[in-house]
Amino acid sequence: MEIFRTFDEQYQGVYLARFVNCPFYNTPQDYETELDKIQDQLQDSFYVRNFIKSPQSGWKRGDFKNEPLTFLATQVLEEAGDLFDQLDELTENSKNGDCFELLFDEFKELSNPERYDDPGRRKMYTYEFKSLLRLYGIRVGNNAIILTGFGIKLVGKMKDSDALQQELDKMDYLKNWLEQENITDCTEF
Amino acid sequence: MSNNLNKKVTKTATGWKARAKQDRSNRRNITRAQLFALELLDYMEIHKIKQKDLAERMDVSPQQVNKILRANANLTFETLDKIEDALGVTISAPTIKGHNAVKSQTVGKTMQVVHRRVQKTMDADLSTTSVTKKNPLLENTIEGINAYQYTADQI
Repeated sequence: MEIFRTFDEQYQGVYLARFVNCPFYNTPQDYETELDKIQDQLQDSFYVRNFIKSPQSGWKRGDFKNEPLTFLATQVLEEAGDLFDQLDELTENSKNGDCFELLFDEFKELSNPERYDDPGRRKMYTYEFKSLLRLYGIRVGNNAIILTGFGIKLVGKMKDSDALQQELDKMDYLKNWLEQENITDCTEF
Repeated sequence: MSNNLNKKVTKTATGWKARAKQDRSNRRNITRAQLFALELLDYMEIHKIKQKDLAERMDVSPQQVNKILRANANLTFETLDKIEDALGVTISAPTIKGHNAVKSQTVGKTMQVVHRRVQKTMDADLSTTSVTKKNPLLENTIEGINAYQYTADQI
């Protein structure tokens, strides 16, 4: 595993994962971190359309099965564009590069019983309402999230989609790695 | 003894920031290219046209077609003309909304792929009565677009 800062001066907030030597998934060579992968793939019409159409997405089994393919693809592309525009705006407004602290509060526990898990699995919705996109990550201590990936959620439960199941596995892998490395916090005393 | 996350982190990500800035300043073009790519993909799927075939018909490289479909290409009128000729379709011209000359409620924001009318049919129609039953693909409205979008059950 490799963990990247989002900014040079960062000491807390959102960090970025790169999966290396993981037995079931590695971040593609073309991408520095999982955030680069999200940025590239989710703004690619061909990728997004093909992904939704594929059995991996769970589209044909989920709540959106009656929604037209192009409609869903358009929604995802728009949502991804808004997400990165928002991240860029946050970056601009920050004077010292710690703006990603703001995003920390946007990440919620994956399920209610996991609320106090540390390290614990977390998700973030792009929009407050009717969001198709999710960002996933692992919380470390009280002030750090490590971003592990994203999901286009077209099913009720994550395990109903192969792609989302992989995101669960990635989160579990990082969680175990953090425990093995005994990384519990990002605060320096 | 527990470890501090910041001691494990040695690198700062650089790639996403530059691209986010560039994309944000170019958002309108990106959105147009994405919507056009989705329409083109729909059309190609319905008519079973492969990327390679389209590239040959347009006399461009398959990589160029791939860039268009991934919304990575800078679409020029010349490129749009080539797509029109290659597919035998009409791509509606961008219109200026609110201009006096524009009376109808056309969808001016996106360039849409629509079927080119078959000449024979047009002649017949013109010589008799007006067209009453339009092919939904010819409709230049949102409803017209929805008429040829797939849902999960149809694929």
